[in-house]
Amino acid sequence: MMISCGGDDDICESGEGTPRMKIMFKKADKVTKLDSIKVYVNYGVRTVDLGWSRNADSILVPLRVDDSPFTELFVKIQRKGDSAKVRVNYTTKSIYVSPGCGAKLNYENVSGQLLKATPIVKLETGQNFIENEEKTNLYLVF
Amino acid sequence: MKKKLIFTSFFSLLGLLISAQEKQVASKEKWRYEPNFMVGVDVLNTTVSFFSDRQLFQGFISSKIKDNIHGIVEAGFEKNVYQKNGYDATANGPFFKIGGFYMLAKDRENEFNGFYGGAKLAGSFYNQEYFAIPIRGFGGSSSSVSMPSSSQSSFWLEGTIGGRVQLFESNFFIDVNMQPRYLVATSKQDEVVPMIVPGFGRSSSKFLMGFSWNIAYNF
Repeated sequence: MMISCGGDDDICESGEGTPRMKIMFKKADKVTKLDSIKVYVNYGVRTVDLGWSRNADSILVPLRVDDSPFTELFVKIQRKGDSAKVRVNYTTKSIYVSPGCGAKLNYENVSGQLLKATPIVKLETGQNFIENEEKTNLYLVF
Repeated sequence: MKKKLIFTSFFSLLGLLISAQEKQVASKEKWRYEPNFMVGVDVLNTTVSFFSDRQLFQGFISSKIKDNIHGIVEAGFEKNVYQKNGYDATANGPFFKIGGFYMLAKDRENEFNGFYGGAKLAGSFYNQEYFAIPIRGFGGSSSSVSMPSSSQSSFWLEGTIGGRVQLFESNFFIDVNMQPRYLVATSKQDEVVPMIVPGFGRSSSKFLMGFSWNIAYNF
């Protein structure tokens, strides 16, 4: 029989998990703010609505951590407008964090692929690896 | 190398204890030494082993060295699994403990009856395999990484607080004790902190409380 005292194996402090991808926006080759943007992400098991972001200069999107070599996003800027489809390709590297958090992923060779345009015109790649959430990885050009 | 050194130190301590015993036997008249090896088996954990994933078998040999001071050597084997929070791991191996305790209060008629407190040094030399270490994701997406089977070792300090009661007029005793444990050092595979250490328990926290309920025989 064993009684555990102060077991911390359940606790994973935030900020130690897999970093999210930072996306910014451009219009006419200039970084811009968007009045509104909505992103859906296909996580394989289900598609999750990340909700509307208002007056946003950037958004952070969690990518898939399963074996898939890409994550697909759907982007909308108007409620009744079209959604563009973006595929983010990458390779992954796992890094051990702590007993509570387990391991996390870093993404390498990150690149975007525009599968369906409107309202997005094109994509521009930023920093092509994700180790933290500081640098922009992808620009959506409207 | 480190493992070897600690092992050597363990057995030299053991040697000291045994030679100390011999000395006492030799100077029987001076110490009024009565042969007093007590051998015990942890009945509680052995029984629980049949009904759980955790299999723990352990026993001890203790002996009165002088007055209220007793020496104790423990050995055991544990096989355990850790399946929680996306982890899937297993570890098994032997462990050894050596230390002493002091009879804090004892029965006037039988000096082996009473309460005691003491401390032990413990080491475990085990084999572990991590089938899954979780990678936590968003939106139901998750995965895991695995590590191949490997040999590891861990060392800890253990307190002992307990009591012994003679069973009627026989040479049998019941020995119940609690063991607060503090993990001092552990080897790591790819920097991964072990979740279970045989003889210690769930090791993601450094401090643990162990409990054993023994039946012992006094020779």
